[in-house]
Amino acid sequence: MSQQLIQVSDLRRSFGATAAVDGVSFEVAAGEVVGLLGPNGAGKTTTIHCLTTLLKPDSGTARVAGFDVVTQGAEVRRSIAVTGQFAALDELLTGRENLVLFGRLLGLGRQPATARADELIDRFDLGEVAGKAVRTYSGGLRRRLDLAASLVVDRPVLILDEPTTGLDPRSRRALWEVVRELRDGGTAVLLTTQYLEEADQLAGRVLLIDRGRVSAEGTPDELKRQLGGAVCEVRIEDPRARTVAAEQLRAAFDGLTEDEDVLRLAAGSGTLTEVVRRLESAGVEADDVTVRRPTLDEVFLSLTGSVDAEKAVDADAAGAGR
Amino acid sequence: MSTTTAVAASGLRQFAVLAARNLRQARAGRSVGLTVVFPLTFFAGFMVVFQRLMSDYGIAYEQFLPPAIVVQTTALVAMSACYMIAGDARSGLISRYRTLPMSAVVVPLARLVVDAARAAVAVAVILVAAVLVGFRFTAGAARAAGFVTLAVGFAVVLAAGCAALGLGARDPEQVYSALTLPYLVLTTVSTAFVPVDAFPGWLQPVVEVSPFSAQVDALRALSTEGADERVWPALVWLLVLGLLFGVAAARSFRRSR
Repeated sequence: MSQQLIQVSDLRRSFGATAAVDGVSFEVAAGEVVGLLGPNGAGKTTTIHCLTTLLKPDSGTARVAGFDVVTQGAEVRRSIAVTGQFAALDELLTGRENLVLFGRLLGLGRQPATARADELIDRFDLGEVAGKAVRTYSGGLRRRLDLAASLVVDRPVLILDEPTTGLDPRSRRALWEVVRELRDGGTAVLLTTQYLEEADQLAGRVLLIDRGRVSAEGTPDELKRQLGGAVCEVRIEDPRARTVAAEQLRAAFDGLTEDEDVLRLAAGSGTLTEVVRRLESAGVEADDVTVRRPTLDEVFLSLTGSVDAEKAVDADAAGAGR
Repeated sequence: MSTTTAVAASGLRQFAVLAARNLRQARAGRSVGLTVVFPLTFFAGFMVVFQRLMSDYGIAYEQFLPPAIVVQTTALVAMSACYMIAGDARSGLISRYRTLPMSAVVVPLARLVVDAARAAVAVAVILVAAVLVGFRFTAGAARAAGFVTLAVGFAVVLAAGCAALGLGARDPEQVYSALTLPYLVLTTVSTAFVPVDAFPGWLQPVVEVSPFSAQVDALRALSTEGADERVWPALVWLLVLGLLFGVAAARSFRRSR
């Protein structure tokens, strides 16, 4: 089961003087979802293009399903299903015709291609629009059809480049469901995303990519732990009570920060009890006291941004609009 | 274990499927209409303006001009092929084809077979108009068939070159308008509309080596009892450009940027 279906070793690719991918290594096993997470221009798509034979790497090796992407391109293409960043569909044809077209290009006969198209239309909830020309589709519909088109035949490796960009929450969840099913069926899935929630939800392992390099790697939980463990948050709406509480807590803990009506500090074992005890003795009634793990957003910012790890929590709260 | 269904698609089927799709694209774009309207207008205009003048010089313009209009049409068919394939490149469709197990020649070939059909229809329309104003095939059916075959072949070869350009382009409008200038220069600096001795002396060698001159001269020779030496240069050009552009188109599809 632990067959490595994607093996990337020290992959490099430059465009002129810019090193888009600058020594990336990772593996994806059968039945595993690996997420490449990073901001725009981090090198995610270039990595994907090398793996899908659209680009030739400058150096390093990449093997997909055991085949070298440079010398065995044809075999690689027979092993992958790809959804690119832009919905690659025939505008002129209807949704169903697109699916049949790709099925037939992939070797299905007319009948099986049509049957498969209908199956995918059901699965991706495209029944209402399947008979309409794709040029009339919304962005979300296109993405769904695009993903369906890449799943016309079963492949051991599925590669998704920002599959849910521009999707509404419902479609996003439906897509996640499909990816999980495929993973459970043994498909190796590599996906890039800018959405931390997506990596958290789907990926067994996440690689943070920044300026062409892997800046951190691990399960979402491991990455969160790297940030320094849990965070304790005390919410007090009354500003006077909050000031009192802040004084009390500062006496006992380092690194207390304030963010609107929330006091935040790093939580270790016994932190929660100590916080509650101090609040009680100060006679302050908190509206809410919680201990939580950092979000992947916080990890992301601390590892890829200019923000250092200690301040990541603040930075994230300040930039909560993202 | 993965549940791979190993499907080996035959290149022939992929070709047929894509050709059918391209034919549909061509019909939806009314591309044949657009590629004959301009040459027909040109034809009518030139006939009205120059026919009497040319007959003073002993040239039967109704016989002289139609091969030129045919060449004009085939060039426009090729240019619109570039436009269509660049559109597919822009929409990402070509990139998807690139990630599919397809031979590098399937996409360009499926493009060219439809271009051949479009060229055949366009040439037929021009010839009907030409016959209406007095153009005749005076050398029998075999040479007439040769005329049509050569014209379509030229369209296909040019379309291969245009497809190579279009595959690398991102903007259909831009690449189409970039082709307009060479099109105008190549058609006018040739024997298409006037004989070679009508050009200034310094320009005559250029006119004589032009593949467009070779093509027009060969078509004229085939429509009448012209000398076979007039046909050979066109065939050589066709072969050379066909190889060059064919390789360029396949490479352009499977190009690793």
